[in-house]
Amino acid sequence: MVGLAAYGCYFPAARLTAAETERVWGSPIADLDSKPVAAADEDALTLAAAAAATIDGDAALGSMSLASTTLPYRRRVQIGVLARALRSGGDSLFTTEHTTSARAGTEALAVQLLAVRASGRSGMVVAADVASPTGDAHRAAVLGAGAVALLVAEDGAVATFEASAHHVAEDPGLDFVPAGESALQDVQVSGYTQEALGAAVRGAVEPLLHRLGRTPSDYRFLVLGTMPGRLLDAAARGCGFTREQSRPVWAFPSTGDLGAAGALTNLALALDTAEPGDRILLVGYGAGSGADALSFTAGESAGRGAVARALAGGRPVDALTYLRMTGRI
Amino acid sequence: MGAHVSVPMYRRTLAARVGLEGRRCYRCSAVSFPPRGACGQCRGRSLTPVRLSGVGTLQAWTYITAAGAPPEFAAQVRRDGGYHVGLVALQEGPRVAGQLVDVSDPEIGQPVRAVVRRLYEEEGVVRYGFKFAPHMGEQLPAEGV
Repeated sequence: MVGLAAYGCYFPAARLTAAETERVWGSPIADLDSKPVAAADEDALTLAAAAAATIDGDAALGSMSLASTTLPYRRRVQIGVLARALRSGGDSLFTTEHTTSARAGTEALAVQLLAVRASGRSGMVVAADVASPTGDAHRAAVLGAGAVALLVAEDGAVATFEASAHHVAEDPGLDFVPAGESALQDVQVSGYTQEALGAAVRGAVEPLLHRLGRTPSDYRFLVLGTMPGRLLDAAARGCGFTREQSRPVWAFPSTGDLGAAGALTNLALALDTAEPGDRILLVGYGAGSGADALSFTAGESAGRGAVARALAGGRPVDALTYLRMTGRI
Repeated sequence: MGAHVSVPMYRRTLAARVGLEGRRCYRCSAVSFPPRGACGQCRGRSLTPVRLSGVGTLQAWTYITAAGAPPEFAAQVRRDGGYHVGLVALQEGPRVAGQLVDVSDPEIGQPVRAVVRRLYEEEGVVRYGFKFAPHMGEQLPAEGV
């Protein structure tokens, strides 16, 4: 059955810790212990290449999808650098790029599941984001950097794909960048943010559970994005899941908000933890709003520790170094 | 001395800079990298593309201060400060120079592996290429065509 055959993650080595944040800014950021910070010579494409390089083997890829909200260019095909780095490409590689919201990761995965099912050839999904520019200091404080790569194949030894459902609505004013500008904006009404998130997640999850004839208790994990904890809990509760199903597969405390790479990084964490046969419900949410819900069953090859390995060995940086690395001084 | 690479030249050399593609000589099997028109060992001109692992050993290194960096790297040193440059003996044979990343105290003989990073941006075009990071022993793609 079509599913995930391998996966891997990459996080930049530099880390801003909660202790340093508290020392300089006076208070820690809720739920955030540490976050990776991209070096000056790293961007979403180099992070993507590093994550893809962690996947073993020389699988001949038939397709590849890249998800990121912080690619170096607003207009041009950019996945070619990644294809070059993986020694793929040319006229036999079907590629897509997904760039407009944090939902991009699950969009890309959904496309690859379809492509692999149609072609019979393996496909790769790579999601990566670096911290976006934003005038909101609190938002900037939680934005991390990282990438995750998933190999999709007809034989999903890591996890098999069961079914998906999707939802779209119009919720203006949330987490947007106007044309011609670069900084993230938001109307910053927390109740509205939570309501839109909850409605979108429910809009994708409920039809999927209904179609599969399941309830939330049939799943070991609900995988959401790398959002702050209060939003995570509200979204899980809103569709009948518990903290015990979502918090263990929530990388945010160690990564910050990874944008388009968030949900798939959390999926990697779930695969690291899952026992064979465990059911995993993945939900990607993008402000605006849209959501994808995808149901998986963990296979024999899950449990590789990819996220912990990628996070190991970070190098703490002080606040001044952090501000210099992010181009703010 | 600058490190400028024109856009057409960058495009022509992408397979080597990002994909680590070298050339293997049909006659003596020596690997050349960056790719050349003739074998560096036997001067044979019958060469085939070969993918290098990117894994090697650090043979020498130096540190470039912010003041000593070529102008193309001004943006990098403004954000990250000076940087190390190393001479690396790749396991397939060629020796290449490249920046060292994620290393504060390099050691001669240290295993390293190639990673894709931004080199610099000029004319609005980002140049990507390989640099070398410490190799922690994780499995990497094997050499192949």
